[in-house]
Amino acid sequence: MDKVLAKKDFPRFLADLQRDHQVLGPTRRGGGTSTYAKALFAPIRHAEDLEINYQSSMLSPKKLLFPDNQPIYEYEKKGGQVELRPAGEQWDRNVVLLGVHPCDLAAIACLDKLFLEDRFQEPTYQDRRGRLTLVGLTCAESTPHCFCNLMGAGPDAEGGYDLLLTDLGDRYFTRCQGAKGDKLLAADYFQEATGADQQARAQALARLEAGLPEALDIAAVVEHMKDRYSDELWQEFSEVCCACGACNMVCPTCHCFTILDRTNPDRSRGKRVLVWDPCHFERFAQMAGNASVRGEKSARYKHRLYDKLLYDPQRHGRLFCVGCGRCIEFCPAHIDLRAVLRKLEG
Amino acid sequence: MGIRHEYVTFCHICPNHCALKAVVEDNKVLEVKAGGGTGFPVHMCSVQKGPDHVIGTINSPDRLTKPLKRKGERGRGQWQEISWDEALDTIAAKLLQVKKDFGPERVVMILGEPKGTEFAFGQRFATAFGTPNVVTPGNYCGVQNTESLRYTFGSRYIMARMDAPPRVIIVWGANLAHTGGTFSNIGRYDFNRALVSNDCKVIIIDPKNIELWPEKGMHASDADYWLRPRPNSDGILAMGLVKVIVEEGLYDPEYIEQWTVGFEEVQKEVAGFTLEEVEELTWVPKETIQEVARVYATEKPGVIGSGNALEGSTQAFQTLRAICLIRGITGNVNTPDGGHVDMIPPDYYPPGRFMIGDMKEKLWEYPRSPERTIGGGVFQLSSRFGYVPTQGLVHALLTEKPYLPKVGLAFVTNPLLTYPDSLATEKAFRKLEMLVVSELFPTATTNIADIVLPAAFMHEHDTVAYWPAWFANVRANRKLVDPPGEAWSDMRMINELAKRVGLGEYFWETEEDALDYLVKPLGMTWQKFRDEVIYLHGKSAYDPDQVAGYHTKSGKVELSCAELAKAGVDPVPCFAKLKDPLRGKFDFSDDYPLMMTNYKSEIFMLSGYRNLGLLKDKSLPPTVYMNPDTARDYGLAEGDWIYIETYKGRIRQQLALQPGMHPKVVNVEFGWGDWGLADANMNLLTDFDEPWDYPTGSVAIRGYACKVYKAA
Ligand code: SF4
Ligand code: SF4
Ligand code: SF4
Repeated sequence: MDKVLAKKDFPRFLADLQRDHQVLGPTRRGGGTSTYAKALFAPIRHAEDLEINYQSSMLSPKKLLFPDNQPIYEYEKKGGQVELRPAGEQWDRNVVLLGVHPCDLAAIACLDKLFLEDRFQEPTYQDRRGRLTLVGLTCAESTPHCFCNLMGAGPDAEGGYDLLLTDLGDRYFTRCQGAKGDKLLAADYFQEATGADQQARAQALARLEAGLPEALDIAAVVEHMKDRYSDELWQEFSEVCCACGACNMVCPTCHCFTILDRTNPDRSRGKRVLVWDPCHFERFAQMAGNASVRGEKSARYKHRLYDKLLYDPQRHGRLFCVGCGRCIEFCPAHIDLRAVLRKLEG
Repeated sequence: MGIRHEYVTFCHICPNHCALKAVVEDNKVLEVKAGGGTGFPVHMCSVQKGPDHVIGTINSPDRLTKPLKRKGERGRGQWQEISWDEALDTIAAKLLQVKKDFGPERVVMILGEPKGTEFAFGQRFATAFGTPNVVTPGNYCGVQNTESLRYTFGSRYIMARMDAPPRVIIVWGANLAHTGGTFSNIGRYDFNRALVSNDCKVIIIDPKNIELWPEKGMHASDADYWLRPRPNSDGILAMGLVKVIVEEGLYDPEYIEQWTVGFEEVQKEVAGFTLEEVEELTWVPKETIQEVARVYATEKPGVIGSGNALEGSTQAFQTLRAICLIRGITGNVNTPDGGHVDMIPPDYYPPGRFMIGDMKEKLWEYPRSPERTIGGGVFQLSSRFGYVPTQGLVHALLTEKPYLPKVGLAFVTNPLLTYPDSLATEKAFRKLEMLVVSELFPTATTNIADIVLPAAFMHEHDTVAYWPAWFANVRANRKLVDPPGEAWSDMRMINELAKRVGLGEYFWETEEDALDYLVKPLGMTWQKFRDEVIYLHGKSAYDPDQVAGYHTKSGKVELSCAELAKAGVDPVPCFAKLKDPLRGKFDFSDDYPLMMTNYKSEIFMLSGYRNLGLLKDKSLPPTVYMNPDTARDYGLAEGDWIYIETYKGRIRQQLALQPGMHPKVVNVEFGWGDWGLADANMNLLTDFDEPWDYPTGSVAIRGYACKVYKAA
């Protein structure tokens, strides 16, 4: 169903959401503790808190659904006994995530495949996902790093949302999917979308598309990867990599983790936590006897892309890169994934 | 189209000094990026301020491009463009007149954080000219960390030994994800690795919930321990940790016996106070102090990365000494299983030697004696390190004691924003008969100058970069493009000025001659160093089989230091005196129920580069952090513009809430004040006047009781 929401009614919409949900959205809060003015997904109390025209965030919504440094349980030795207490942090309310761009919606769909539809379900993720309403927002502008179009994740979102807004100046075009969306759209401030609204939406997205990189045959890329495992291009692109792991951390689909114990000095009590672990670190692939299967950074660089473009699609039926461009923007070495893809295409 | 070159250079913003690659064509810098693959260190803060500030400064339309002479009243911002000849002749005439009529010490050299060689050149000029008055911000930047290491372990070059992964890292008053600002140089990526390791405990001591790994969204609150001491109580906290280690016997008696002196004195000092007192004064629970002490003492290697935030207090030196005691008692320096090791720097002309080394006769003629030096009798150690504390100059100008300085020569420094007490500083500087400022951009300080000299950026001329010297490396920063307009390198300015005051023999005909001289001990020419070598780092003194030894007088770790006692400084940090920064004018009152501290921006360097679009776009406006509950109690909300007021004055910044912060702390941002934000200048809250840290001349730049209220 397609409707429009006048911007003057947006505060009413927000207030209605807030009645039953904690609303999270992009804010200009400087990473929460630093003065870095990148958008950060954080609680929204007033419409002014929203940085709705944000370009992109450093941390994707992955941080909310599959948190880093996630406590799993706590333990305490009491005499001869060990007491275990679950320490997972549950959401106590339903949550609306507002203003999620199509690439990040697609990334959540990737995480869904992994944490909900695979053999194992991740309980925290499952619980949070069940409590989540996703209000997407198509982008007003692309950044110099975006390439969602090449990965089939944008600029329009095919799915993965409950509502999807598109800014049409004085109003938001609002598309819905599923029961949660239907219910929200029933409010009286949503008007039927006219043909002119449909056209305006199409135009807005076409304008956006024009600013995105020129087409690429991703199927060919993936096909060529199969034979180019030993190609020197991996060496070439990873030469300047400083193995910082930033690309792993900012990626909305990277999901590898390790388990750490944070204990007190005599280890009589502590907390077991799940922390994101970058495959770009040498230690990541270290095994008993100190053997490392990916000692060379080129092997690690390569592995990350094979995982996203070849192995994950085989396992989960979709590409695990959504073209959000974060790994390009935050790579200190400015390694451009798009350049790698182009090279592999030809 | 010209030829496209890719050059390697280095960021100078923070001590990481990341290698950068610059793409240059037709005298234009097209791109600057991290120098991965160059073989030189790259740490790269997440905001990537290195590349941005280089390209931003070089291409900025705000640059000063011509020598300017004041027209009309001071501070009115009216200028006349003059030639270099006129500028230098005017300055030289004044210098010679003052030297003749009043003595050379009335000329004051005013230097900032060293970038290239301008700092060493300024020092050298002062020596040759005969003035002992070189004012640098060393009094609250670098000296307490490095000199406490030197007095304790006999070397300033004590670094973190990251070759063996540490089992515990304490980050104390430093923000290493953003600035690489610990004095033991814990590399950012090494730190990241420690953060996802089961084998390393991470302890953060900071009032702010600093980001540990921004791309991960990981903060101090995610570390094993996050201690939030009362601002400026760090020395007390350190002594509390020493007490636990000593009294619980968490040290190796054999090592203490064989390799340290003064253990009994330390024992005696820590017996004189209780952990309850420490808890009350520092706000850190006793149990946490005990746990952290046990972790640090028993898990080895252990690193303490202490930062610059510890240096702006009236007990700064002893605070850092107390931290050195922790490193020393636990055997963490220069031992096979220790976390710190001595570095031996490459043999170039280090600034100390360069400043005076071959000019002994000048020192005999114009001794750097206490009588001739501003604050000479007041500060016990600062003159040994070659500087006059910044507030010493302000004090001398205002009180005219020991005499009234007449001329100030300032090179790339902005005292009107960066010295404590901006109003007093401005009043003082206005008393100079002539103030000359060399700068890249107009600043609050150039605004009240008599002559403003347009400086070339350090990437617009060849220069040796060595700062901070205790990182034990030396780098070639090559010229990428011509400076804008008629801007000159500081080196060239000083060479030319020296000729005009009859000191040409101590300086050089060309800049290249000077650079050749600087790198000569390396056994090569500047050209070779620049084109082939580019970067040299120090050698580690680490010995896996035995204690590598200490270059102190006793050859041991000086827990109690006789050399300090001789200089009239407490040989062991005195617990009672460590309370001074919490007392008197700094303490809470009915009017001022909260405690102000401050942090440095993650985006800019100190007060600089705040006009550059690339950086500005990444930064929030001036931002003050408070605990959400406290803010609510005062009727303040996130995003409000608020006043922060101390007995000195008030400033306006925008409020951001930070859960987990101590409810009494108000954390304001340092460095604003130029570019239309005069009322956000943190140094309107601070005081230049006594009490000071008498050994080193530090002064309180945080830890003032304050109040907050909504700005209209
Ligand atoms: S690989 Fe890069 S572009 Fe692709 S989803 Fe991850 S961060 Fe975004
Ligand atoms: S962000 Fe760039 S430099 Fe860092 S690990 Fe990834 S590819 Fe390497
Ligand atoms: S400011 Fe950033 S780029 Fe510059 S040296 Fe420091 S970490 Fe490196």
